[in-house]
Amino acid sequence: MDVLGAWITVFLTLAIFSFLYRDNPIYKFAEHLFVGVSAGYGFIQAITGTLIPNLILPLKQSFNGVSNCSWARLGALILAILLLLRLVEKVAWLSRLPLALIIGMFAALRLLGRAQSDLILQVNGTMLPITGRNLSWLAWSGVSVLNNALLMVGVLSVLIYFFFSVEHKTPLKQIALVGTFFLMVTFGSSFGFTVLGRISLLIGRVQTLYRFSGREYGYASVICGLCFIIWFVMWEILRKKL
Amino acid sequence: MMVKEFDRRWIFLSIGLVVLIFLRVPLKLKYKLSPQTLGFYKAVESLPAGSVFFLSVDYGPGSEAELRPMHEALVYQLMKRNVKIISIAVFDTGPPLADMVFKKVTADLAREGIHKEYGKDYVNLGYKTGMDVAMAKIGASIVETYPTDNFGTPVEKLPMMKDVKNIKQVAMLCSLSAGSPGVREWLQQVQSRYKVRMVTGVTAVMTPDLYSFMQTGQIEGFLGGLVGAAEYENLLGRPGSGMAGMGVQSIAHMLIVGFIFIGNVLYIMSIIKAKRAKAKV
Amino acid sequence: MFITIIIGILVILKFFLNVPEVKGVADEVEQWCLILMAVAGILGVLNILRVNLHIVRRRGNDWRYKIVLIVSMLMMILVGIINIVQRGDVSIGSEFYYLFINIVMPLGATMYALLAFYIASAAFRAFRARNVRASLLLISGTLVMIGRVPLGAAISSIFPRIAEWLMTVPNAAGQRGLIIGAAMGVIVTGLRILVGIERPYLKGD
Repeated sequence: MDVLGAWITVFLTLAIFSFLYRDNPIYKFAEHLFVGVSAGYGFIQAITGTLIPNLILPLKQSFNGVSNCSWARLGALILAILLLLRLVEKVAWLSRLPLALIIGMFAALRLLGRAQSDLILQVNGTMLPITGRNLSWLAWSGVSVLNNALLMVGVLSVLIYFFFSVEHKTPLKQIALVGTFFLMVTFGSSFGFTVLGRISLLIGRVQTLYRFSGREYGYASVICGLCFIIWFVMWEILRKKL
Repeated sequence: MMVKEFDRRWIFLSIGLVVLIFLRVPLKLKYKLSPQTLGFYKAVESLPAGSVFFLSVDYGPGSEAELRPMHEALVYQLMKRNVKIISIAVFDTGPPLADMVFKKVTADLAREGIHKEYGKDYVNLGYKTGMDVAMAKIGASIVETYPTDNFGTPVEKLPMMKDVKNIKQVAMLCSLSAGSPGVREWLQQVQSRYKVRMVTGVTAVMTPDLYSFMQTGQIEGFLGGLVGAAEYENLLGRPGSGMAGMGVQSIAHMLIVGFIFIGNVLYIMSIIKAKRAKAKV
Repeated sequence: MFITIIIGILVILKFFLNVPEVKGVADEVEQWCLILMAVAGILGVLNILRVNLHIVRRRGNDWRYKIVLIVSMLMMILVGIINIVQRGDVSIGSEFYYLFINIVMPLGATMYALLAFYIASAAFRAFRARNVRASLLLISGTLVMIGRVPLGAAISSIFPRIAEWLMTVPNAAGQRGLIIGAAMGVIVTGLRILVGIERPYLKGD
């Protein structure tokens, strides 16, 4: 990375971290800059990733007589224009047509995908043996009688907990209670991994700051850090005076 | 002292100091290899030379610290085994990250005397909008979904794409995933439909979801967060930023466990105090 | 409504039948959907521009910062378009790529890194063993946190084993229940959309 890039990276990193002390103008500037550049980035990627190769180039080939099979993309172009009309209040209703296409496509694809991957295969995976000559009683991980039985009981009790069409009276109530215990372990594990993930992200940023603290990058992290501290002290003094 | 009155900026400062200090203090730690990481490694090792690996780079700057170490290690292992790589993205931030990793790993391999050429050994087909639709389309026809690569070159001009038309010609699929669209959508739209072999690398937050899918055999292994990346780097014998962060990760975890413990001790003390006050009345 | 139903049936037919005519039409409609999703992204960006221009015009909340937002967005788009016209792409070596590496990446990464501090604060202030279920959550979270890092294994080999068992058995059971339940919900919602009972494209006009 070049020196200018390093200084920009360090400044913006510390600008965001400054929020930990207090909401301040530099943080607000960085926050709005982030939204702006991210939106601009997404705009260009939508054009280069999809519109140019899948719409503009095929239509260009059709107009040049190179290929005839891309005239159907004119339909996509018309629908795209109708979708953009959502910005004009008087004719916004025309955008319902392309939206209906998108929703129909997603509804069907998700229905099929979820049914196969998340329903059938997962239910199939829950049907586990709890007897067998080579099946051990206990194991820390992998198959065992206890593990398989717990897995089945856990899945069934969690599903019963979420079954709200019938009032949870005994014995459903007790089974649902068991389900909540399994859910608590699930959420606890999720919390543990969330902590792991967030600390990893912080480690990544601090590694970057250390990388740019050396002479080859003009001691960017050190100088920027000191400037931020001085700025905060002056800002606090000004705030208290006003 | 009431927990609510405690200024949380002291907690921020302690976390910050722990990370700053212990990143510079190297800790020699042994890695307990998880079955999921071993499954991932073995699955990739089983690929024959010359086969095609389909890699979906579905993460952005917000997850780069967790996923880039495993991304680099994976590309390194694949290139060393002479497995060809097709890199795509359904996250708009995927293509430049893929370019960065290819640049770094090919430079590292060049220093080892192994030279990889774009178009013959690896390609970056870029980003495609559409989420599930793009994935379903890729399964049916990669060439129709990606008429050009990330640099605007027609796909038919890329030598390694001559024999790859759809997902059935691919030996293995991998999604380096930070959210949606990502591994779950790949499982739904491609893996379950075409029965392609699949591995994945995910952020730590997504890791708990994947144990069910590994148990059913839908994925052969996965790398969960920076810990998974560190285990993988250790297996490959290629220390990187994954392993570099494990020492401080461990210390930070102990600090947070300490916070939880102290918070609960204070809570129990406040309950006892309230009960005593009530008893006096 | 009819478009939604027709498209839905077309996709489902393509899945189950191997008829070239059905496949051809469905393939083309899928291409249209990819293009429309890209245009939807562009629509979102144009809407951000419209909303923020409105705030600046009427001098609303933080209007000076909205100028930063608008200018940075337009600058990014302009640089991208110039690169597309001059070199045909926005990949490695372009000015657009430079802006991504030096502005988008550090800002995005640091925004998420902030959460590390807040999770530590939340652990101290809110994570309480108030009852049996909360205690179970607390204990499993703590065991996973200790067991998944190398230091936990160094303290005792039992921690990684407990963490592994927690993840592969009770966690997997709970997660699977959630996955199956959510799948059933998505299937029902999908069917409701495809038969026209739910019409989400009619809302928000």
